[in-house]
Amino acid sequence: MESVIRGLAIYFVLLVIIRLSGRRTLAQMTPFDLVILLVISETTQQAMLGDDFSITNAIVLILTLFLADILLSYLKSWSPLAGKVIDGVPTILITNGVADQEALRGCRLQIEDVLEAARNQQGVESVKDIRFAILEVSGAISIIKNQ
Amino acid sequence: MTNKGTGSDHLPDGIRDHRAFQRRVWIVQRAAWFVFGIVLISCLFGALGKGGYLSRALMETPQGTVDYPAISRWNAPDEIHIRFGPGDADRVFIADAAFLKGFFVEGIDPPPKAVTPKAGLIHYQFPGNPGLPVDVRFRLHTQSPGFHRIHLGIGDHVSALLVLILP
Repeated sequence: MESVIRGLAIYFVLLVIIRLSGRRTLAQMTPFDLVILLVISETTQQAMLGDDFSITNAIVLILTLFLADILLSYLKSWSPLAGKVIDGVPTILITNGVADQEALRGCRLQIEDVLEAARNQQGVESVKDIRFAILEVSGAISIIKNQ
Repeated sequence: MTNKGTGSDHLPDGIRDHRAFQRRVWIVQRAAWFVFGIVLISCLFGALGKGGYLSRALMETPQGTVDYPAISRWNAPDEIHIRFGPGDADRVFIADAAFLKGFFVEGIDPPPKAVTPKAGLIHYQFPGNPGLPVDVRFRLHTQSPGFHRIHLGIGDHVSALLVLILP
């Protein structure tokens, strides 16, 4: 029983903390983000396993995490609001060459981050050439060029 | 500079303008960062155990002092430091069953001369030292989370203490 409670507690605590820390934190990986990710995975492993390193405990934990994930996906499909709260929504960062500073601040992004994505994806040189830049739910930045 | 004129009809398919919702999320996120900071500061003060002013408490008796964890963490090591005052007679540290329910005693340095149960309490007997105080260290491992009302004492002075073991 303890394994299931530990697994669920860590899963939901981690979900809430990552969601509240903002989408940029783990989606757009800088070397610092990678360090955070590695440390978090090591820390949560200790908290979830406790002092029980048996295969049974590992299987129970894996099943707990998968089941929690499946239940959350059903919850998101049943309730669009739950989906918005859990996953967030796409954020429009640039419209017709004009940067939305409030959205950039809200997502903890700089215009340089968007321009980097624009250069990588579309070879765009100037912000004026961008019709839409959208921070997707996945954390990736989608660029749509002006025709 | 905001994206005035971003009407839903101009947006790519599948994208909607959730500006009001996003503003609420950003406010909640900033409030959460403030809470994260408060949690870390309270941790530095010992409110989450494992060191810091609030995590330890001192019980003073005429025969010595007991420095015990007031806030500890589940399944983690901790310690009790006992300082007996100088004296010829044997010194006795007393703990009750609730103490052993919350804490597993992994070791005692120096080892007690005798351990005897008396009237529901456990008496740990240590030899006294006429010239110097005697320091004893109980190495503990926390066993069950929650509030524990335990009884600890030295000699005739036993007090009820509240200890919190965080999950």
